[in-house]
Amino acid sequence: MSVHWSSEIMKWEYRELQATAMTVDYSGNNVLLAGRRWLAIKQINLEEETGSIVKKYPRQSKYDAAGAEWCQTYHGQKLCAIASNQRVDVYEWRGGNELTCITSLRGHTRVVSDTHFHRQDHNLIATCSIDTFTHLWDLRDARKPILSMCAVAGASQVQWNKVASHIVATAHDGDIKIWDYRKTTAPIQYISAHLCKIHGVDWSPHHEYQLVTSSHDGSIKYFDINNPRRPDNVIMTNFPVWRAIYTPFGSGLLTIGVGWGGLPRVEQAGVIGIWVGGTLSHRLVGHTDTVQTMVWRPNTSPSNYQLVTWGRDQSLRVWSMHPSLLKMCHHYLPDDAENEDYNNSDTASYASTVSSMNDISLADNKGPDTQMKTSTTIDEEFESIREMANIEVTDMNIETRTCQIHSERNGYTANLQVMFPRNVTEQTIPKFSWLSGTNVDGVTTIKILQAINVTAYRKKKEGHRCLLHCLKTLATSIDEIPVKSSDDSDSMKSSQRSQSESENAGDSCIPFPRTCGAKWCGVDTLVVFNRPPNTRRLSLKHETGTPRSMSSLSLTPALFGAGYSSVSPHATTTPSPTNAPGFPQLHLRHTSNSITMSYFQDRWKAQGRRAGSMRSRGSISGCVSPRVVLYAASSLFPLNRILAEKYVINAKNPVDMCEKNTKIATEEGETELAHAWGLAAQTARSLRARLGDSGASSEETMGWEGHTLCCNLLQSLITHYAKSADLQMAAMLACAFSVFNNTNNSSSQSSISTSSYGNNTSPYSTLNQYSEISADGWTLPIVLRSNSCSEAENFYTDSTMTKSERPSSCVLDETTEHLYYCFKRAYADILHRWQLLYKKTEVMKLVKCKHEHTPAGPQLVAECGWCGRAAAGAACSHCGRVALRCAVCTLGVRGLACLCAYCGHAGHAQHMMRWFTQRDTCPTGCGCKCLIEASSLWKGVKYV
Amino acid sequence: MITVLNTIDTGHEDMIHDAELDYYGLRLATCSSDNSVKIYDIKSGTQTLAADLKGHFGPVWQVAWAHPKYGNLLASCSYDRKVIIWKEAGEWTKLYEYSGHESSVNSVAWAPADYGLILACCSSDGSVSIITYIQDTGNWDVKKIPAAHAIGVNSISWCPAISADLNLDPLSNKEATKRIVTGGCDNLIKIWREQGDQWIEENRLEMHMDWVRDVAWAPSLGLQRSMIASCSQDKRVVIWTSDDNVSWTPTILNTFDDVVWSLSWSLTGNILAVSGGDNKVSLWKESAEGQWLCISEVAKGLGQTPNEERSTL
Repeated sequence: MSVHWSSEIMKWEYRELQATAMTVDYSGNNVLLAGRRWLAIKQINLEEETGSIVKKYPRQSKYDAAGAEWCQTYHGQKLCAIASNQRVDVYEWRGGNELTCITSLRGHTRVVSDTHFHRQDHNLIATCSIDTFTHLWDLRDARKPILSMCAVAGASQVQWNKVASHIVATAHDGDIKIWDYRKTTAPIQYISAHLCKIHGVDWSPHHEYQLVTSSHDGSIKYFDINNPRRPDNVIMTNFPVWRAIYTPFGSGLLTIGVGWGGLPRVEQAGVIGIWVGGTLSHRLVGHTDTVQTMVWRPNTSPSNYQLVTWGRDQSLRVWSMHPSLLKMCHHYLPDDAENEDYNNSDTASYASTVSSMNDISLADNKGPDTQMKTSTTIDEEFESIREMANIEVTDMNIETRTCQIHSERNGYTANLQVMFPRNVTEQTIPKFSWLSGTNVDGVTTIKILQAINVTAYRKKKEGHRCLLHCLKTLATSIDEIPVKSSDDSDSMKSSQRSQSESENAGDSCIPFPRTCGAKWCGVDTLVVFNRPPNTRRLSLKHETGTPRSMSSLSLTPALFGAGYSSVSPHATTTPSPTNAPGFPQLHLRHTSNSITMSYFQDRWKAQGRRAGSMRSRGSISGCVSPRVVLYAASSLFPLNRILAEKYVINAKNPVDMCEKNTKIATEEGETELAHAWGLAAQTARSLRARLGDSGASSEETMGWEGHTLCCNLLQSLITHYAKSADLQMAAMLACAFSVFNNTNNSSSQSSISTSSYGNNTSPYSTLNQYSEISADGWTLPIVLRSNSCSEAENFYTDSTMTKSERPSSCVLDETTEHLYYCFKRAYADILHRWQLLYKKTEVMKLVKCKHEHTPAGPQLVAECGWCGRAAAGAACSHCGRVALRCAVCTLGVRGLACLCAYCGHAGHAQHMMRWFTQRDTCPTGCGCKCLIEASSLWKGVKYV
Repeated sequence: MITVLNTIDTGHEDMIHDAELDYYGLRLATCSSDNSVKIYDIKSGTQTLAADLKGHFGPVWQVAWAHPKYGNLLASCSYDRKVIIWKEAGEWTKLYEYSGHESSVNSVAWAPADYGLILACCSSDGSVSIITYIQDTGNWDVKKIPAAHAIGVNSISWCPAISADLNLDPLSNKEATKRIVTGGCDNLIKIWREQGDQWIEENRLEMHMDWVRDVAWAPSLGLQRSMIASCSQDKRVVIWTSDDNVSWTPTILNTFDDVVWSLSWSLTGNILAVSGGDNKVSLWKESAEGQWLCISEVAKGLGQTPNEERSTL
């Protein structure tokens, strides 16, 4: 709930001026209104009659005044700057009646979007423009800028820090850059703050390191510039926010929306929102159209803050802040008892100060005694704190009338800057603000400031020096914050830090999008996508190679708001961006534009100039739409699908398998493979002969059986193919010879593995490289790396032992066996990808479960089709017949069977398939609609 | 040597960031800055648009197909901080949406099918999420590695399930130690191992001098040697080899002219495809002497229409 106020205390309308910019001078009494044809100065003293313009000065210009700004320093209070088009004119208001242009700043090549006088040195002014430059000028020699800060995106705002005089912030689309003007080559901080264009930036009046941004995406974000990754706080509104400015008191915030943000125009336009603690608490209602400028009236008393606004309804209004609001913002108000006289004296003294100051300045002559007096008081003030314990004065400057204080208590660090205003009176208190390094949270800092201010007022009122007491208050205030142990606070801090670092990480840590890539897919297909050949990446000056993060995309000029940022919003008659209705969709910055942009910049620009609106998506469709190319790289791999399809897998008869595959390989023209298969067939024959015990008498082996080399030959063949990535051949050979291993995996294998492989100390028993595999397992003809006696002995015993056992079998050791299983598995995967499911299954059948697991899923147990008893295997153990009977042909099923999980009837896979191509009920006539009931089981059909 | 099989005009309105064929090589998924994911049916030389998936509200960075034994599942990750798992059941629908990251999700990778249906994703918020489908309950269980890499995680890859570990059953590698490798903005490569129900950092590999953009664990044939390839903003590609998954030895494959963005191992683990900011793709193979040699550059004939002979898949 927000309270509506229409509490402007003064209102004037000046339609004839057609002013587009407004500014208030240092004294807070004069308002400058700037339009295309007139510059007008208006006094807004309360005493004066309303309506009168003090002076009107004709200004003949083709361009609207995009911005007007009055210098806010004591010495420069007569200076004002008016930005129009590419130029900034600096005027001097002499003697209260003469407004003369003293210099023109020409340097920008496009519309100047903002100007800002330095807060201390009136000769310095910063200007920023859509041309991406932020220039710093010295008015004493304004022929060219003394410094230039270059960004890639056009700047919309430039703001000097309110506490530290060397820091300046600029806004570029959705990002904020923080610069130290003493080192302008690169920003000291980069904040990717918003997803949409930032309309307004305002520094905290109380903190060196805090600022608030307002954006077209409807959010207002508070940032700590030392922690740019994550906003300290976010306020989401339902309208694009044109400006958000801190209240000079406490922790409030004032906002103006752009246009009417979805609400009926009459209701929303011209409403100024006041936010306290993240909620909209008040609305200032009065303006009938969008407010263009709002500034706090300078030099008002601390209990009587005033806001000056200029709206598109051509009215100038002055608003006062209700005391209840000041209280809500934790602003100190003198308590009721002293309220009366305090207020009275206060206003009076302020008025007198201001007027006296005016006199001084008008006379162009500073009172030397005033200066003397103030500097002595400052000296005294500074002197008073020198001896204070727990407080370290890190910097003291009588010239700028500031000192900086560092204090550490209870794990809290407080860095405070104290600034004594120039126009010091008995009632003026120094201005306290927080500096970087302070680790007290935002709300508490505001409370402490108010406590300090209270002390300062009291002491000043009593006529004492206040600084010492203020710092004592600081110390006690910090002590009052709940104490954390130092460990705690550290770990808290670090965890918060890491948390905050991970949260909301800006685009600066999101990698630059890939626009080109290649992926191996399937078995041997290379999928390639890349940028069309006619693209050329926009190269940034300072950068070599492709940028690393996405934030560099947002640096490309005008990626988002190009449509309206090319024209300064100040200069147009409507400050609202053109696309208010489309606003809710704009949650995310449209990076697509940006990535395309970075490669299609030329085209983009050209299109943009023609079309005006840059939001069209199909920006690259005019070029070449993105393509993906699939390449067949089968020749790079020794994998052959045709061979895979034709190869016979028949582990029961290795000789037959090898011979058949020799033929197949020859047919396919793979002579090398055929040769290898031929060798394998030889080996198989000899192995079989040996297994059959009758082999010794067989003629064909001719002593080859039992020859140790035949096993070695096989292994080295497999190893060779595995090494050259011919997984197909390696796995197929392993398949061919699995039978020899399987039949003998009894005692002999285990004895070998325990003797020679269970013992990991001998060097040759640990197989680290597959080049050694072939040498292991059977005979070990070469002594490997045995350089100590004990190892040699070890080797000897091992080999004798294996020798004694070996002649009867050809057994792989555990490692090799496992390796071969892996080959088969990997090959099965390839077969699967080729959709050779039968082949895959046949290969997988030869991969043996090492440990007998109970299968996790449901287990199929066949019920014997003849005797009806459960049969564990293919054959019934009771009647000895083949257990499954085909439901179609009623014969026993050997080989592949299919069954319905629902009714349990089975049959030859081929018969069942044929049956169910025409019907959907069970062939037995049981009435089961197998296709439907067991549909989940039949899903596999489509791959066959 | 390499022939063009298909040229797919994706019809995306913006740059493509990833493209992947499914397990059988019959379907192509692409994702783009236009916030959409598209799926094409590929048949020798032709393609038809099968689905245009809209559900992301930001550029989509990567897509990944799951093993077909879990159905037709596709995971996609986006700048909008979300991971979406799409499922085809008649038509494509959102099966699961994961929004547990606080910044752009840069990479997704399905675990080897042996482990179950598990997806790993990593984000610029510095964390890695392991999302497991629990078959019994039908829910997705999320485990997170917070602050895996300080500034952000750019890439993730799984260790293959086939391994030389003798204690494992070659038929089902369910019990194999799960490992993932991640590359991040802290210039590090980290290897994570699942221990109990936690993921612990097993190793960190330091070699790169800038952000690591991609990491890829080579497929295993069961041999002892594991390989990981990594590429970085520093324009280098490094091959890491290990015999025990504990101590890793780096070899610099090459230093390229521009930033290297992505890596991909062939199925047999012997050819590496490298691509980067210079818009080129190159293939690398290890010679018998252990030298890495460039065997071709694919980028040349890209703009042309494919008129070479078309081989069947």
